[in-house]
Amino acid sequence: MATQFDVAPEIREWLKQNVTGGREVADDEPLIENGVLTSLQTVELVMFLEERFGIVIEDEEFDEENFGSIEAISDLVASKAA
Amino acid sequence: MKAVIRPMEPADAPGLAKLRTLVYPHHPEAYYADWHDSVWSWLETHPLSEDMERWVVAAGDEVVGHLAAVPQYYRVNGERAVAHTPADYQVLPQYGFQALSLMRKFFRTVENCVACDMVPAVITVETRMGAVIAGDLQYRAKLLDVSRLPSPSLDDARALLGRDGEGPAEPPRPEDAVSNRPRASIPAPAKALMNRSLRVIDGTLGAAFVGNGLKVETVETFDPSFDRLFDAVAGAIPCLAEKDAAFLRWRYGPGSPQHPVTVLGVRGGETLLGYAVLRVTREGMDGYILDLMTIPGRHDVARALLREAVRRFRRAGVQILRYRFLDAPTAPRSEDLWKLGFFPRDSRRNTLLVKFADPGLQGAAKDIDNWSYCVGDGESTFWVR
Repeated sequence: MATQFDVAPEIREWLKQNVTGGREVADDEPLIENGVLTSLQTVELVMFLEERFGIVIEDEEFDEENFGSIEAISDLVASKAA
Repeated sequence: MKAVIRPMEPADAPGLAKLRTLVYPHHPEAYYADWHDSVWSWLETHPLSEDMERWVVAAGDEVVGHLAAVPQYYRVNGERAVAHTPADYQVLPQYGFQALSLMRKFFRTVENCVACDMVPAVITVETRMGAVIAGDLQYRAKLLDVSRLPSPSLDDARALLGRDGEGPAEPPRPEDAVSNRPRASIPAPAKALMNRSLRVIDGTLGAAFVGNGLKVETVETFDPSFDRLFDAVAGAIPCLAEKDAAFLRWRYGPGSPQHPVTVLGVRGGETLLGYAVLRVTREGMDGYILDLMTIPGRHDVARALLREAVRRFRRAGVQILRYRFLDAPTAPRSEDLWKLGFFPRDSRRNTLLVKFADPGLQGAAKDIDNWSYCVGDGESTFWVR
């Protein structure tokens, strides 16, 4: 069973490799509000999460609130993987 | 207010009509709500209409997004396959996540997808969702009348004279005259002279364009000879829209948004060797070759159809003729288009994207060389008025 603490490092690493060019992102850094993550990159992140954790993120869960920070994304994934 | 995606309901129609004017405020067509309704009514007459899906993004009572999945038959590797095309995709800019959710909904719902798009952002979204770019359509245009062209600027003149190092890639574009700051139109006497010159050049080009004695005739109905032509093409070309006579009657017959069209045909005895479908827009200034298909390798037939198409459009008073198609053995060759005075519009090409669930079908469909495709074959021209 994945917890928020298992998921967060993986998201952090994915962001480093695919979005920020190696810059570390804090767990509470606003991803959408600060323009770290574009909505298209969010699609790629969703695909990564679905494949890595074997979950399905529903359309109604695909919003700024759930993808606002690493913490929020980790909570969403952990709740679905539980 | 949280926006939700849900199936479109009849009561959403006024909201969708309003959305269109918000997304495309400068497009006159956006304000023709009845016209758009009539296109949707026509789409509901397709044999696969029960497989059509439409979704809206609703924020309270307001429609802030829309996408449809329009089904169509294709023939891939000799198999009949149903593929959907994303249609009428529009979302208000502030609902970016919902725009992506709509497209996710599309790709989760449909098994196969064939799309012919031009907007880079839409193509990007589609490819992120798993569609593969097969390749680009050719876009050729031919100027028949200079009336909509602006008077050349100093920069245009320099380019035309080739003083900036490179000759002109293509003539000035009427649509650019609309988007750029207004410029004076060409003075009437010069316009008349230029149009006369264009006619003379066309006459010369057409006369030099040997048609091999083929007779091009106007075709009144899509009879069974169109089925036989389609079977002959489908036997040689791995991927194409299923353009049998029934499809063509639906696509271009009474009830179609593009009706009436002119259909030209070339026959060899009882056999249909090729045909072209021509459409003049309601305003009368633009002409489209929506479809032109011949028996594979019959470039002489394609040439004859092209030459006659130019004649018909000129007679109809069309100012610019547009033709989007894929290079294929069923289509005219580039050199023939050049010889008839068509110039390339490489910056405005459509891209063909595919996603088939079956790996064998996908393997064939993602190779552009396997396709025969004209712009009239799918959704992108359903909205030509």
